[in-house]
Amino acid sequence: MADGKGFTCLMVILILGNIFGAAAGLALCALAIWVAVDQFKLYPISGVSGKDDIFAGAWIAIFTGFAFFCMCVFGILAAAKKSRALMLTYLILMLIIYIFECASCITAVTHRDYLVGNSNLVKKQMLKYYAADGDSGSRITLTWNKVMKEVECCGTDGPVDWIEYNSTFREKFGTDYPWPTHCCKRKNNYEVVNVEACKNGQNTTMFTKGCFNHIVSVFSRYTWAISWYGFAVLMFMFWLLILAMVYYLML
Amino acid sequence: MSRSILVIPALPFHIMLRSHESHLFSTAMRTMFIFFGMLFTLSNAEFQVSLLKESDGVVTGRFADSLLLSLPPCALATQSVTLEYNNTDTNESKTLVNIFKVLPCRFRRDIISTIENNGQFTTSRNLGYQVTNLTTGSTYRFLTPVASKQNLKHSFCMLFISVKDPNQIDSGLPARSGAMVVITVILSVSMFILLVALIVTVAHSLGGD
Repeated sequence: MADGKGFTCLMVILILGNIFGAAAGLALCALAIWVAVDQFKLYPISGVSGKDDIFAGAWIAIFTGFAFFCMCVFGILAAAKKSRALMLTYLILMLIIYIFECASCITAVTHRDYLVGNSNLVKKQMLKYYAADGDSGSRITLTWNKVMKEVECCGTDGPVDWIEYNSTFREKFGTDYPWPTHCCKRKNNYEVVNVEACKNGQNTTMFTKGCFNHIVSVFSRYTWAISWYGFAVLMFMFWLLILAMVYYLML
Repeated sequence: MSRSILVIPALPFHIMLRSHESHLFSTAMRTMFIFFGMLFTLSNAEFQVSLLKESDGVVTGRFADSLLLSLPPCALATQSVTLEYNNTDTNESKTLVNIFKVLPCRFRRDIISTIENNGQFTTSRNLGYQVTNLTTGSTYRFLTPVASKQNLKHSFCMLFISVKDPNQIDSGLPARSGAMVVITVILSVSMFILLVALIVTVAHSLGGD
């Protein structure tokens, strides 16, 4: 059984598949590092709510991606050496890594649904923690200030969020400022263009769009990197493992 | 002189109002609803006092304890404006007498105006008047008799957006997305298949040996 034309063909396919798998695994590792670094600095929004498994999935994917790379290199060796023991080791270890990577994909996409399925969680968190004391309060405040300034937005669905609901911000600062001054347009020297007009809600002097769309797009981007790309890698590895099992049986 | 009266009954909405607290920061459950009723008598010149809207250039005309009202038209020039308002819950009335003169829309401290500058010339536009020190969750009725025309009265009833408690926002899982279902189902099935296939492979090779 071992030395036929079909057998050699299978071995070549397996080696090539493992080379491609090694590259894919390394790319997964790199992409997961990008997510974990969080260039948009939105982690506190997910961290304070406890739904931060997009980032936990990223950390798992860093290790599983690199492990896929190592195991695929090992698989090339095992296939070339035509060794049963090595192929069995390869199969068992790959299955374990496969299961961990599945966990990463599923948990990342599930927590994305919790966070940005609708604007309620983000809005509630903003109203409770913006300007609040404590560690969570300061992290959320800094995050929102950054988002409102860079994305030029105010509130979750709009500035009316600050008026419709009671908030820690209002309890602390009263009703003189209906919304934080970060909602106001600023000049290049960071001075507010017109504080009184912003307080009155004149839409030429403040940001009127909500920040939720930006938050959704960022978390979706992270999740698609971990979940969908991880899913694609796993689908490729699935067929590679099936082929490896057939090869093992032929040895 | 034609007269017409349009009345929208406010009574059912008073029954619906569950919270009578006037304390601004109470954490009790509050209901939120908006109601407009217009009661006006028409005379030679007419104007309607109303809340400023987004089309007027503001984000909202309704704040937690103040409102932005529209200005009388410039046809009533040089006349003083008096505003009476009445809290229909506590029956307190307040009158702001001669708060400003209508047109030529001279800039006044309390009038909200925008200044637009397009580089060549500057125009200023008066948007409205801000009534402050109001109580959240109360109903107010506004009347604006203009001093020289005794018959000219416009009023309307409105309710505040009473502030909602953010703890009442339901922040649970809204729905599972299609992506989540697809990924979970397909990966679970593939994990199962691989596990079974590995067991069969090992058993077969051991059996063969």
